[in-house]
Amino acid sequence: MLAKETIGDLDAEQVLRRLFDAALDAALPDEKFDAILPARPKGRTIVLGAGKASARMARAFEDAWGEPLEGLIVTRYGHAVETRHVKVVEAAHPVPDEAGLKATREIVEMARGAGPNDLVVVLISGGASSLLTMPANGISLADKQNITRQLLRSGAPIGAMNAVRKAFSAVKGGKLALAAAPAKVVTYIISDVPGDDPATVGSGPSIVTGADLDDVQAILRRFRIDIPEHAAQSLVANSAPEAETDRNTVHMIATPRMSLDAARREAEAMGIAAVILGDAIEGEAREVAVAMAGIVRSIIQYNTPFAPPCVLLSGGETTVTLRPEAVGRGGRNTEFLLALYLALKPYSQVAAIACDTDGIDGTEENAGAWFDFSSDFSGPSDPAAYLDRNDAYTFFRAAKRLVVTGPTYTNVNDFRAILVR
Amino acid sequence: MTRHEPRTFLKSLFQAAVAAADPKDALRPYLPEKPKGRTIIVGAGKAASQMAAAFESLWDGPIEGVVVDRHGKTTATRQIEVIHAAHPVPDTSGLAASRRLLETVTGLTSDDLVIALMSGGGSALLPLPTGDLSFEDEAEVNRILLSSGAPIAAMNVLRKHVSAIKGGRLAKAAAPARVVSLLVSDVAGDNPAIVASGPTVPDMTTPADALEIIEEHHLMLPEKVMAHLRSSAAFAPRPDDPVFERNVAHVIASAHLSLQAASAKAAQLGLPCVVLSDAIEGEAKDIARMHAAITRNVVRYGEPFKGPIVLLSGGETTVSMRGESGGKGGRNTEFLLALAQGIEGMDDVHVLAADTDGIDGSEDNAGAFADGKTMSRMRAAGIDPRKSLCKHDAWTAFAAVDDLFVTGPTGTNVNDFRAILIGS
Repeated sequence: MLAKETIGDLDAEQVLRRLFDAALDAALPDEKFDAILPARPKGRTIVLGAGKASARMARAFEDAWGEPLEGLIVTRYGHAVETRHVKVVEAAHPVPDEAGLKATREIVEMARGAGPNDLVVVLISGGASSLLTMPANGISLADKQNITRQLLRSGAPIGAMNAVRKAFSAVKGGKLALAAAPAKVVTYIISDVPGDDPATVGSGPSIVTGADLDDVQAILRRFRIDIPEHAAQSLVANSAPEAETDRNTVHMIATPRMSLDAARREAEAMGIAAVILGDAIEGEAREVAVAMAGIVRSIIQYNTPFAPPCVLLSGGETTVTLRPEAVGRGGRNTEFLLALYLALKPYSQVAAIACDTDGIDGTEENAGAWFDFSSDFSGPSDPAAYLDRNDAYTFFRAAKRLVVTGPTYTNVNDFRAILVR
Repeated sequence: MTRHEPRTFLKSLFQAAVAAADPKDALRPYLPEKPKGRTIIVGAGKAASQMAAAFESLWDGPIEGVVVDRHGKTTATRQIEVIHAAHPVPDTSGLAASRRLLETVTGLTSDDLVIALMSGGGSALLPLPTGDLSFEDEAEVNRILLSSGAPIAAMNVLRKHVSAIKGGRLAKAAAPARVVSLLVSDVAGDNPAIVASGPTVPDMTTPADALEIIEEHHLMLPEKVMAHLRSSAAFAPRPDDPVFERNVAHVIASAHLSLQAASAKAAQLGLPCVVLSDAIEGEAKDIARMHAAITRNVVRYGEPFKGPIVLLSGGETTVSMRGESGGKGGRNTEFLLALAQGIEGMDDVHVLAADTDGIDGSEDNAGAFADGKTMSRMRAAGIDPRKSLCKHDAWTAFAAVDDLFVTGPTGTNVNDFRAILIGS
């Protein structure tokens, strides 16, 4: 590792951008498939998928696989990219619309049409859960909505809620893989969930977990979820013996953890020690910033929990609660960064970057922003007023400290790096 | 590695932290030599009466003086008078208290010794406007500061420049007597000049710094206050003033020192320990989520620390009340209830969070314990932990599963103490 004074000579903007670029590279599906392609089937290769990154995943898979190839994926409005063989449909997220319902029916039909010699490739990323919506046989959309409302009010933990949702769905919780049987199913996932459990990303449409009918019925009784008689019958009817799915495989091609690991390797290549605080940090953006500022001050004042120079890396997804006086220009990453800026202002040792890996932080054109206290900073003199108005974007734009990448069509949530020299 | 009973272990770390902040033990190493002349005690803060009583019991010689503590129950003293004032919003009793302190140190000689016992909250207890400013002007400055979200260090730069007692002015009044300041710090970094806005500890900040803070935090102060800050009357004494030459200041207790003591205790019991920070602020439930995320990272990936390990942190979180409340609890139980959600199902995680003063919020507990089974225990007891958190009713939730941590008042205060034991 370099001595402190050597780090001081590194240009902070370059260091921070290199860290983010490394994280972003790791988050892209491009060139990730070559090493993990399945054997070519005798029959057809059918690509099915859903999620905010599914179009770019489909294109990357096409590049690696070549021909023949067919399929259909559904992505969020504005997230389509050009593909050669796989049809791309755009639909609404997070509230499903008719386009999503129709695409889901088509995707399930294509899975059902697969034969024993066919290969089904499933591409899943964040957002798939709302994009793939299809009630199980005998259940209406109104039934599903009614059950969801009751679940939300019941105080049931998220795991229990998802188990019930999967039980009433014709596509979630491995139902898509069951529909595709006896075809072999290979699943590729870009994760945006804490823990990177394949069954959780997009509600795991191709991951058969064998949820027990008894478990689901116990949850319904315990949280006093009232379901109509026909729904109860459908629940039993739809929990038919499972198909043979032992040949199926799952690959994680990008996760928040992989991106943070890539950033750490990049930091170490520059001679800076890096630590990952967590890949799933949640909470109100400005409060998370204040807490991290506490750790940074401790590093500067007492060399604990880490000795400078170092980089603190973290991922996850913070939230922003809009204030009454909000003008609302800016997303959770710039809001985090402005709160961090305010909390650490006297410390010239600190530089930081915070960006959304999907390339768009909130509503404007930027992925995020950065600052460096040791450089000339010509931003507005009243940062607290900008934070009060949730207007971090305007603050960093005026300071010429925005990070702009354009949409990346992938997503492993937030990327934050704090450099302490 | 010996196996520890997690709660006994966590409790012993808390006790080590509190013992390190015990005023009597903490004062002992810093007692100055006896003066030829008189020994005068002054002081202010939430620990003022405790510190005064501890000092009396340690000092063999005649002493006299007065300290100002919060309204309410305070520790009994024999020689040193304890007077009371309002906290956190100053009132006119604080005005009288400030004048008493200044009178007490007036007319001393260079043979006399002044002991200043300062602790957190001293700033609010000692209002005394300077120049043409009125009590209302100073109170207005304080009101605006408290709602600004500015860090305490910035607030105190402003306070010392509108005060006739802060920023070393009390020490200046005591000249030519020697002043020894003994401080219980509640500020990040333990800067003696910031504790209680440093009545006896001058620093290099100037009215220009105060004006910069006003601009930076967008503070709308009365024009009279602004005019004062632009005038020469705002200047506080400088630390290089010869009258301060013989003075010293010692931080005798602080969150930092207490966490170090807890850390040493853990090491002695055979477990590695790391201090995340002695000054974590922010909304309790969000701070909890971050602690949970770091804990999950340690459990899942052995990062940024390898288990088994104890994560310690201090500071003072806040709880913003939303909507109708009526819930029972304090910031430490609120922190734990939010943390319990984030560590649900983790068998090898045990947590203690408590206020080092022994009272967390509205009830009689110092804090509580949480672990990976807290959520399921609460549900089994008929509590919906998520609803309890929304209602700020964490005390009721922890009481229902008998996981409260009760110590009674500890006689000291270095803010919150949080310890997360991962592995054992």
